[in-house]
Amino acid sequence: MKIKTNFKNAIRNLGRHGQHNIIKILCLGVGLAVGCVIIAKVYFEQSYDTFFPNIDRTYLIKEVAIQNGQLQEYPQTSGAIAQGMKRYAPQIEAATRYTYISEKTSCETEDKKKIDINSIILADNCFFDVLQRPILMGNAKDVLSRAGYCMINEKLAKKIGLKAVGSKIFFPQLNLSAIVGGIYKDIPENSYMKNLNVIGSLASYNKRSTENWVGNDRYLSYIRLTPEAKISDLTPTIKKMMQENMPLDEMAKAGVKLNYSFIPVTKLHTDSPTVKRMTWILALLAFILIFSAIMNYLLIVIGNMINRSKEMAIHKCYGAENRNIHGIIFTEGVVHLFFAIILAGMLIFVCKGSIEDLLDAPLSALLFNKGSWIWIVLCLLILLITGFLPGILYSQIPVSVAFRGYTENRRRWKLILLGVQFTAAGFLFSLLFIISRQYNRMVNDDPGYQYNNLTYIDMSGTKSDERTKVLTELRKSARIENVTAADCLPIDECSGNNISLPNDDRELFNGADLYSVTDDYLKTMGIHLIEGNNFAEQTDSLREVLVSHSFVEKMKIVAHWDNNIVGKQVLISEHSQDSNHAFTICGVYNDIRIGSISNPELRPTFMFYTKHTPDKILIKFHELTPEAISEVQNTIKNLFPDKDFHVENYRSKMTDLYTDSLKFRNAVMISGFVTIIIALIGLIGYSNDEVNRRRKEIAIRKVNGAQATDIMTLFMRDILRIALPSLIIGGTGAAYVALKWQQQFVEKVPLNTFLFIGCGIAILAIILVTINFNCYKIANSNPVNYLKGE
Amino acid sequence: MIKIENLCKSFRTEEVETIALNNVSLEVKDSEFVAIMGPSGCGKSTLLNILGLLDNPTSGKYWLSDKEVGMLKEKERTRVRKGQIGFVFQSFNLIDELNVAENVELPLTYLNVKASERKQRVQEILKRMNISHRAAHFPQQLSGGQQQRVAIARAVISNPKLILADEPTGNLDSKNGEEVMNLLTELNREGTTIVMVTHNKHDATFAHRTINLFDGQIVDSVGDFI
Repeated sequence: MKIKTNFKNAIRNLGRHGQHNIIKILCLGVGLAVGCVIIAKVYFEQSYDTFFPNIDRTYLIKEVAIQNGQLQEYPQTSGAIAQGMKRYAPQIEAATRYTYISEKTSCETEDKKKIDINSIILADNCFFDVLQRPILMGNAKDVLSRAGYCMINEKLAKKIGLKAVGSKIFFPQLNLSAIVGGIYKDIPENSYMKNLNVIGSLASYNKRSTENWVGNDRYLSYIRLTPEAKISDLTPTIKKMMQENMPLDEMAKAGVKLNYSFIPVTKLHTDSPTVKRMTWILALLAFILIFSAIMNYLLIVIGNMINRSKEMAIHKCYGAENRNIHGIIFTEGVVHLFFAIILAGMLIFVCKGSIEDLLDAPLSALLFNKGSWIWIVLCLLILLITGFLPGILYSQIPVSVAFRGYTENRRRWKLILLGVQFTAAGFLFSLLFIISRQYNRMVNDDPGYQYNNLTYIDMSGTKSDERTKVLTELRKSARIENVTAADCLPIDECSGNNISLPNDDRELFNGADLYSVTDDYLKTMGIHLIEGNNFAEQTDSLREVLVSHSFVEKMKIVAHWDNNIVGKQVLISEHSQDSNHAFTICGVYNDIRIGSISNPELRPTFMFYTKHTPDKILIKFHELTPEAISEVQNTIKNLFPDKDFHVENYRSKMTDLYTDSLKFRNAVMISGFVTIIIALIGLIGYSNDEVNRRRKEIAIRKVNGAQATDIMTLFMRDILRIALPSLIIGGTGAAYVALKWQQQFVEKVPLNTFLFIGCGIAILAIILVTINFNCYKIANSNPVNYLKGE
Repeated sequence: MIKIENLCKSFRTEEVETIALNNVSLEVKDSEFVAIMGPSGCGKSTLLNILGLLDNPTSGKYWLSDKEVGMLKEKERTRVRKGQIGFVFQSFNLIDELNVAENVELPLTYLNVKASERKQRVQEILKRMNISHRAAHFPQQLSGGQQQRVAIARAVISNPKLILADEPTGNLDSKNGEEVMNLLTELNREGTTIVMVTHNKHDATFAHRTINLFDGQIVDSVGDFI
């Protein structure tokens, strides 16, 4: 009965002047929307790969190598390892291995339909035994045992059409084709394999490549234990397996000691330092946002107490007990939260695209999963705080005091709540500033080569002489400064090869192999030679190698080389079959950055010359204009009318390397913006209430000679007392979090004290402008108006 | 109905103690109409708050309907107050967020009276107060006289034995003030005990007895309940 009345009144009072209910709902709704989306993202990250059945018993095999005393871990192994372990260890229930073939490519169906493909792997026939997914059509084990066959995911099958199974698909860039033998259910978004469209049969590869014990460590290998087994049980059997199948003595002579470790698949993502850092920072952001919104709600409620205490006293006069007062306030809390949730839902729906882009996952996957209970718990928690706490405060006001005119200020409470919001605003503003600076540093940092006006075309799937023709044609263009070609781009990840010396069994270290480049590479890329000469171009019979500065420094340590590097010989695995195939160092170039600042390749680099044009064509323009790109695009189209090659802007690709940082910056920016707005709304509410509460005092001060500036100073002094320590705490917190966050970057923007002081001053200025703006009216008003009621 | 003995009430701040009521003893009989008069700050409203169980005395005894209620806790005071005491204030104290009918209905809500009965009783009392045509209006839409009639309707709807009125005509013109006093007199004739604080000597003539307070003490009591 009373509940119904309470609800009716709570809804009716939503727009009531003086209660600031709309502001309360807005702040709560916006805080809830942003906070919950961030929490959903945190849960999403924490639930990576947990959908696979028996995943708690599934492990990725890692290769652990000690080379010249240096420990190195690789997530990939040689082809024989996974199945080998299964044969040796009865504790292993299932094992599989797979290798990536291509990402971001396309396929053609029999009816010439072109479909984009995200990712293709080759896997053995036990793939679905370990990483279980429902098979919608076909016999996965059978399909993956047959060379030239593949399994495709549901999404791709729908694109291919009704008769997907049995049809042939062709991958032009890979020059490969496969027959679709079956369909598996799409892999959910919270997985490293989310984009996996095609699983080809590993039987297509020759056994030398798939069943080797050492080298060619390109396979991601997984095992699943029996329910009763422990991972430590495998140690003796692995030792036995290695002794019986691997040339351990030879490896020891070469200074290499090999072993294997096992990482639970569920920890692969969550234990990554980047994910860990991101997770706790995002969780902190979500907490700050929701906490600020709740604090703001309470601040407004406490501010309203002067106005509403009499209303509650009337209720009490006519028989309302404390529980009735609690009921009124709690119902209001329920109604406010209800509308805040609706608002949050609408905001999330309206900003669906931006959220998905920002958090890199579909909204449906983020919000509707096993973690949806977090939302419910969060809403209940908010309801507990916003529904019960104000009720306690209201029921504590004595009726007689309320009727005499309740003016107890509870200023300390309000200032504490405001202080919390200022701390949050200061924290996020400073953090945002640092993240933005770091991001700018990353995208504008000198990687050791020049990429202004640089573009490239990935011409995988074409022949070398066809690409040579492309180079010849492009060199004719007046818009182009230089053209070259390479196997690897510095923005990509590099494979590694071991370095040793002729007539020395030891393997000295593992370097990042840039493989081959062709004429004008250094010139086109703007890479500086610091010693020796460039390749004697147009021939690769000289067996020359160019090495980086860090390569030389490394050799000085591990091989005790002196400063005369040029002319010395090295053996490089994969390129040197034996000691007669040594390479002569012809020059040393300045170190260039491979990969990104956030995930840099720290190994020394080296490159070879080839007269066969590699498949990445690099084009340096005099000026990068749409017309210039269009001209190149047309040239390529004329040469390859049936193929679809794109001219890619190198700078854009470089910026893409920092997409995660950009998204993180944007997440902090949105959180910071929302928190600052909430804090300012709280500040406006506070100053309004203070003005209301102290109007008589202000009037008396004015009557006694106080000027407008004196009145404004009165309010500013109060605010400064809480704002200054809050901003110092916020800035210190930001410095701590920024330091943690910056650990992932090799090059960091410096965090000096002035930067934090500057951010604090900026927030302080906003606070003071807001308070002045709000108090200006009363400071300049006629005091008589405020003394009339006395 | 009411009996108080040596009632004291003092307000204490960190440095100063203000004595609002000093050894006040008083008896109000059933169906009596008592006016309390005195200058500002003499303790009239404090006495009324204690009589209405809105506040506790610092010391002394208070019996309401033969039950000692002087030192009850807030929760118990609310229970005793519920349905027994009606309040009429100078500033009406209607809830702005509720309309006339809802304001009047308020005490019945807390007495857990059924909705249908509440509705009927509200209609009856509004009719009696001549404001049934304003049932759906909100307090701000009414004149002062109408607002006070709503406040009286709210005070009497639960048929309390005691009505405490704190300067009920203080915010009204003479015509509306007269109407309010007539209403209170009528309620008193029907058996309701009324204790009214007033500054207005004319209003005090409606009462059977006038008690004069000065500096927290009763200085005289004029008139007799017949």
